[in-house]
Amino acid sequence: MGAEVTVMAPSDEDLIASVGSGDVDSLGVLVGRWEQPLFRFVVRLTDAPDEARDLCQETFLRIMDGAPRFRKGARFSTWMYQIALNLCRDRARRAKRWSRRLARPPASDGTPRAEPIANEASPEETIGRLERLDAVRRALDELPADHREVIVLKEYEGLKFREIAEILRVPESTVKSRMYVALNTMKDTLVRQGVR
Amino acid sequence: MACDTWIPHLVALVYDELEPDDADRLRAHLVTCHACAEAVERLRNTREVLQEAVPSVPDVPRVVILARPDRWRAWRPVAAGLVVATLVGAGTVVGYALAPRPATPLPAPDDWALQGPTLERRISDLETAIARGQAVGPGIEAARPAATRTPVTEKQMRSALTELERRLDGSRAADIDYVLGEIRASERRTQSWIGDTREALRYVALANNPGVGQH
Repeated sequence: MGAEVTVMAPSDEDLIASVGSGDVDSLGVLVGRWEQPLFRFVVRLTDAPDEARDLCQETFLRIMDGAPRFRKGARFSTWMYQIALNLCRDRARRAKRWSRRLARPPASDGTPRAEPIANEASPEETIGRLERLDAVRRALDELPADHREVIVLKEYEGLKFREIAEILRVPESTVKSRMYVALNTMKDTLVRQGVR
Repeated sequence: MACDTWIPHLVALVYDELEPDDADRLRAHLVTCHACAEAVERLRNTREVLQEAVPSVPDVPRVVILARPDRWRAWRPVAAGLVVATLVGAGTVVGYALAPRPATPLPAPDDWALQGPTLERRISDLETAIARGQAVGPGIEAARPAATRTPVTEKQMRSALTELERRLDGSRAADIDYVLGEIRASERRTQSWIGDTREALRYVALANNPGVGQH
């Protein structure tokens, strides 16, 4: 009877090294692994699902272009998030959207945005959940860009503070300080909107 | 107001990223510092709200990257050829469906010696007999009975075209049409031909067929 062989999937860093050597198929594997988290990240950061697709595509194209220069020993996900973050910031600067977001009143007439509804929830529970979702989205929307980035990377992408610091190219203590201020700001906003 | 020097540690504690030694020192501090203890509680409460109300994200569209211009160029003549073949094939079916066909092949005259008006009259008689589905004489294959002959209707023609499309792998043809549409949109958007500039190539198309440059 033959010995059991365990085949380890190639690491992201191995794959990007292959892409840098001209193996485009390895890029396909990376896209398959990261397209969902990256899309979620960009949507939550920009709140623009229609533009998120273009931003993700551009991110992967830049990854493909820059693969030959990917530094050995670096982490692929950090690099990917950096690229995506820069593209989102560039887009925001072009649209001057961040400043308009801070000054703009809530986007809708106050009715919560459509969200998936659990079939088991009562109408009251559903309405309450939708209101909370909308309140969180508005509170996130009102944050300054650098605070919003930290919240999204930490709360929704689940990255470690050290990774976030690498992505943002700031000290880890700065990330934590921003996180502290961001959470307190969101708390104040949520209380103001009636969410406790 | 929490102590400034402890703020980074408070956040790290809430997210379970504090080293054990630092965690012990912080916990000792929290016992005596009401402000920091309140700050930790407030941070945890906000985290709970965020975790209960995660904004939903639309379904992720599949990303297909046009990896290299020369790879895509190789597909264009194939795609164009397939479209042409589809059109030719469809035209052939339409032409075949619309062209009048005799129920049976015209029998050869049984007397090649006949010429002139007699021959012409004979041929006309034969054609008439065939059109009526009648037997036309010994040695001549009988025409099919009229009951088995039915004219080709528009519905049948459409059905034949549909079948042809299906046989040509309709989904693949639709994929290629879609990708060609994306290329045209990209060229309109960038005002440059695919392959001329990198900008024109910065575009992706959605495809279902794993074999068509899917990554």
